[in-house]
Amino acid sequence: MKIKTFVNIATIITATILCGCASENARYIESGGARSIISTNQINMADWNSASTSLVNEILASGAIDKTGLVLPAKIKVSRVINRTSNAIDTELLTNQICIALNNSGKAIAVSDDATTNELAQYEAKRQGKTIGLPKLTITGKIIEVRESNSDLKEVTYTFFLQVNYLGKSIWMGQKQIAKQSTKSAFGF
Amino acid sequence: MKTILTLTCVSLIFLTGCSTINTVEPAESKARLQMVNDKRITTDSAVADYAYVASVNQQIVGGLLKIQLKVVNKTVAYRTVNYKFVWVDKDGMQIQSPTSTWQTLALEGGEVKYISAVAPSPNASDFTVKFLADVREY
Repeated sequence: MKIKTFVNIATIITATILCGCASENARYIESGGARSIISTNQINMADWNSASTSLVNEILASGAIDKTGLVLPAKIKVSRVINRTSNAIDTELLTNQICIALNNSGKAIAVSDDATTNELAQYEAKRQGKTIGLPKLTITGKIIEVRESNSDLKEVTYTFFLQVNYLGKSIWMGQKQIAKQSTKSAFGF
Repeated sequence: MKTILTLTCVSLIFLTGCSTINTVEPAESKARLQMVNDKRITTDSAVADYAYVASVNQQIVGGLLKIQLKVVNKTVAYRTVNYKFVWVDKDGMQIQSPTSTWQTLALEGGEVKYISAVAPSPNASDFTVKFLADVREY
């Protein structure tokens, strides 16, 4: 009787554990969209999208590139975007979206970083007796992380700071702050 | 017993203390807005229950169409709403852009906020703004 009871309990426990281990089928969602995960331990895709969209809108709305008087699209190069967060991040997640948007708008055209592309361009220019002009505009920036917590909540704020520079001056500066909060677990983390 | 229950309920209402935004602005606005007549399509009341678009206006900046919406939280509670701008050209073809992404707008109780977007291309002539309630699984 005792053995039978033990076997029944063991069976129930095993079944419960196995059901818990079963994972849900994966599903497609929109990248960085309304259903994507947000967390306080890193910059999420939704944050990258939000920052780049906000900054691009500000650059275009300011008309700063038009005001330089350069022939459009002006050549633009992404220079240093400094990472001051606690994670190893690829800042191209921000700058690529911005460059694509500026390319599409007709305001600026991004200069390639690829050595082969540049070598071919130099060769073609030499063959035609021309020179390739240097980029007129540069993009620089910084991503800063600030963390705060109290007994119940933890909060992280990411500040995306960006500048568009021309002739040594910042013709446009903008920033986007993204703050996220989460509750601490029962163990206080 | 009944009195204690009533007093408890009344106290809870005051203790939960929803804070709303109070504003001060000029009695007569000097802004001259270029308003856009819009068409609203509501498929469910998820967003409409707590937020609505009060106005839509437009501007041309550097040859690009800029659209601004005034969004109002009509409740007393903090709420978020997701929105996304979609752009089409004069032939009705959608213009793909990395900046046509879902954004989350946080609204305090009674708060009015402006959301805006600049068209990704000079070919953009029309737009749609999509709204979605907070559907994230936390």
